[in-house]
Amino acid sequence: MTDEVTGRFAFVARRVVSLVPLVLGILLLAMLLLSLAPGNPARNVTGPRASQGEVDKVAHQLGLDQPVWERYLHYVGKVSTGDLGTSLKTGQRVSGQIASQLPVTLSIAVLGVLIALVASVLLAIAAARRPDGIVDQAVRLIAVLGIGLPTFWVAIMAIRLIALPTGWFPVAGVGQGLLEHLRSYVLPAVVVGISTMAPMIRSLRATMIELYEAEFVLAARTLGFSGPSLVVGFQLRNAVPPLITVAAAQAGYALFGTVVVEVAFGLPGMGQGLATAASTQDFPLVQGYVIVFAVMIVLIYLFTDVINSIVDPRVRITA
Amino acid sequence: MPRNRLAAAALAAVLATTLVACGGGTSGSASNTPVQGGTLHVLRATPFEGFDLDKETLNSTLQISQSVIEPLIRVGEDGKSLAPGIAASWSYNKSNTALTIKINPDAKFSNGKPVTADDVAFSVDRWKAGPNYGASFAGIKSVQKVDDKTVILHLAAPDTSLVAFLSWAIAGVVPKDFGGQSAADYFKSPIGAGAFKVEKWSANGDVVLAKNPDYYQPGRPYVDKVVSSFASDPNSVTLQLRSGQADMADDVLPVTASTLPKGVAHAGPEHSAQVLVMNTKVPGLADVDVRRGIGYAINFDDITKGAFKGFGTAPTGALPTNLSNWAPPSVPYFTHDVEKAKSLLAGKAPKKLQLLYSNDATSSAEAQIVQDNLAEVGITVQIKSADRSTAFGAMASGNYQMMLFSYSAISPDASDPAWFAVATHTIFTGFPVGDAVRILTDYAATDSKQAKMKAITRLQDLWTNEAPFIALANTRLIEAINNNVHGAHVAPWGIYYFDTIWKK
Repeated sequence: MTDEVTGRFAFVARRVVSLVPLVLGILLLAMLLLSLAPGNPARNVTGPRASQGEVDKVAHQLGLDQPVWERYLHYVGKVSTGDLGTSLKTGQRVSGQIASQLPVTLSIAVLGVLIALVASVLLAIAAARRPDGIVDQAVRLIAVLGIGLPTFWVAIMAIRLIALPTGWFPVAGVGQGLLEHLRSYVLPAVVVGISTMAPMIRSLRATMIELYEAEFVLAARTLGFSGPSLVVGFQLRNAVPPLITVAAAQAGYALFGTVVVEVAFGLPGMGQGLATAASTQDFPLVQGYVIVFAVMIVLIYLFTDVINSIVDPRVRITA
Repeated sequence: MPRNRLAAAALAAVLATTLVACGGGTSGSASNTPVQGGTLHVLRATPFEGFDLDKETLNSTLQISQSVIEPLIRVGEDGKSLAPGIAASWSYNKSNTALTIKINPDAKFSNGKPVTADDVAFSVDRWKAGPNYGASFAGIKSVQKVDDKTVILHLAAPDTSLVAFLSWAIAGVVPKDFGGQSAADYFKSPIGAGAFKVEKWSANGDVVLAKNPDYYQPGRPYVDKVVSSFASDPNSVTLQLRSGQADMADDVLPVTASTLPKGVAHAGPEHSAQVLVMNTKVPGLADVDVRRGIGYAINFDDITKGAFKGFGTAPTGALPTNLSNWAPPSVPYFTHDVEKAKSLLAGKAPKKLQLLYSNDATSSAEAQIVQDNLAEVGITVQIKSADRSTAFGAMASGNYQMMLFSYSAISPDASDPAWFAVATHTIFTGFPVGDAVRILTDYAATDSKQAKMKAITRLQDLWTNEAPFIALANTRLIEAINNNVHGAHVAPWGIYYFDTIWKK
């Protein structure tokens, strides 16, 4: 095993370990904020007709009458054994609920970022060929629209203009079977792609234009490279590392952006689950979502660093 | 309310009413023969709360739950009567202190085991133990098993209201000892004697129910499956109904109803009471004249047209309407009378009040109208929105001044929502409940319809004279039903049975 590979493993291990205090910190912050929220989760659990005595009894049973730090320590103890608790309202296991929603959210987010990556590469290449030309202006307009148009509106338009008249995609929900699942995810993923691709287009376009004047590209041109071989082999290859960093940030955004998309498309994902759990003050569920989202975001950045070190020889990661 | 806003509201109301079929909540032609098979796709506006009966509060949850864990008694198709179900018949003794129930001999749980008196006795104990609904069944002193198919509920005091409460979804019949499971495990995957059994469920996702082949009603249910999907976004509701992806949608907002194809939105009779609750513990609102003055300041026409788009009428009392034994107050209920309001408020009106409401389009419009109305009598109202749960939490803990709320029945008896108001300390206003409890006890003690209606009038008078809350409108709940769906008999409070529905 080379030193480089060993160093990379050590780096990954160190980052995974550093994930623990980070997630614990985020969890503490989330629990503090939840404890400051108005309302009474125990009342939500027991119902409107219950007497105050019954509500207090349930609050005690659920540990909701304990100070935040005590609840935090108790919860961390449980999480360390893999137990994320049970939903206050439905009694279902939090881990089970999140596990059933995770594939929906991940599918939309991953497909959305892939769509955004492909579209941004194609559009940025087209735009960078003639800076300030018609195509470039059009691509810049697309990027501005991608940032400016509300995701919710784009989702409704996609349903009204594509799903409804053509019948190619379901208007909402997830169908049965793999093919139906994929069919259900296409439009939501396109919407996530549209809402996340703008920064990628802008970043890649700028880098491509800058690289066009770079010495190594000029040298390649004098050596006879032109067209796709020049663009892909020299410009794009060197423009990829900054694109990966931007794409990672957008992937994080896409994860949270799925909240809106899931509501618009009626998809039972984590975004919609988190929104409902927060609105019903289902603390164990909210805490479970916070942990899973935090871990996913940290893993995205870890993955990005590793990929960057592979595609860009100048980047060295060591423990 | 500014004139242009009122004009727009009136136009919206006219448009909405022309788009809506007023079928009294019933769809389909009675002459058509039901067709077996198919899947019924229903959209629910709220998350599913699970099958733990005592924790169920939302209509969509109650509806799903009762189709799996069916209660003893059903609500009649007219939405105003009770009908036999698992209880084939019932009768009170002369003093109304014992209720004999005969169990339908064909009633079976979805695992094929018959429903017995032991199951009913166990179920009653469960209902009584519930922190939320338990008090409603506390009057059942004991359950006597006469034979396998007969029980007698012995009551602590005469209670003719009880039969209505036995039709509540939360009074579902569960197998004795949960069939050997723990309560938690049972409610995760319950076995009931309802028309459907649970295939899968989640709070935010689909609840999938499959036909129970052992259901006691011959030929029912008609559809093979029911899929209830959570659709919190009104746009999505419209689009799913238009595309045919959904067959029905529960609890449709008035603004959504006007976007649906002709004949799809079915408004039930006026029922749900939209109320302005006032915290009587707040110094400014402790004075009955102030509360009554606020009542006379409300422009009820603005509320019904502006906020409810014509899907409601001005209130004629404090209680939800279109219920068995409902009666109006003997004193006139509040009407828009600014001069009377000003004279009641003179020298006592608080300068500023805060109005809390849950952040949906209807409540927002209602809050703005109340704000405008109270400004006319010199009260500045600061309106504050919160999500439903937070707003409810603030109200339940008494941490509010005024709040918009709605309450309705879950069975066809006028005492049902009245007991809800009492159980919630007259909907969390802190108003003393002693008089109301005495009136409702008198109501429960008699089996005379006339005497029951007299009791309801006394209660209406109490809540009109003391005004712990002001009813703003009696609204019509809207159910969206696509034209291929038949046999949906929606009760005034918005709940119906899946087993009577069939699709063409």
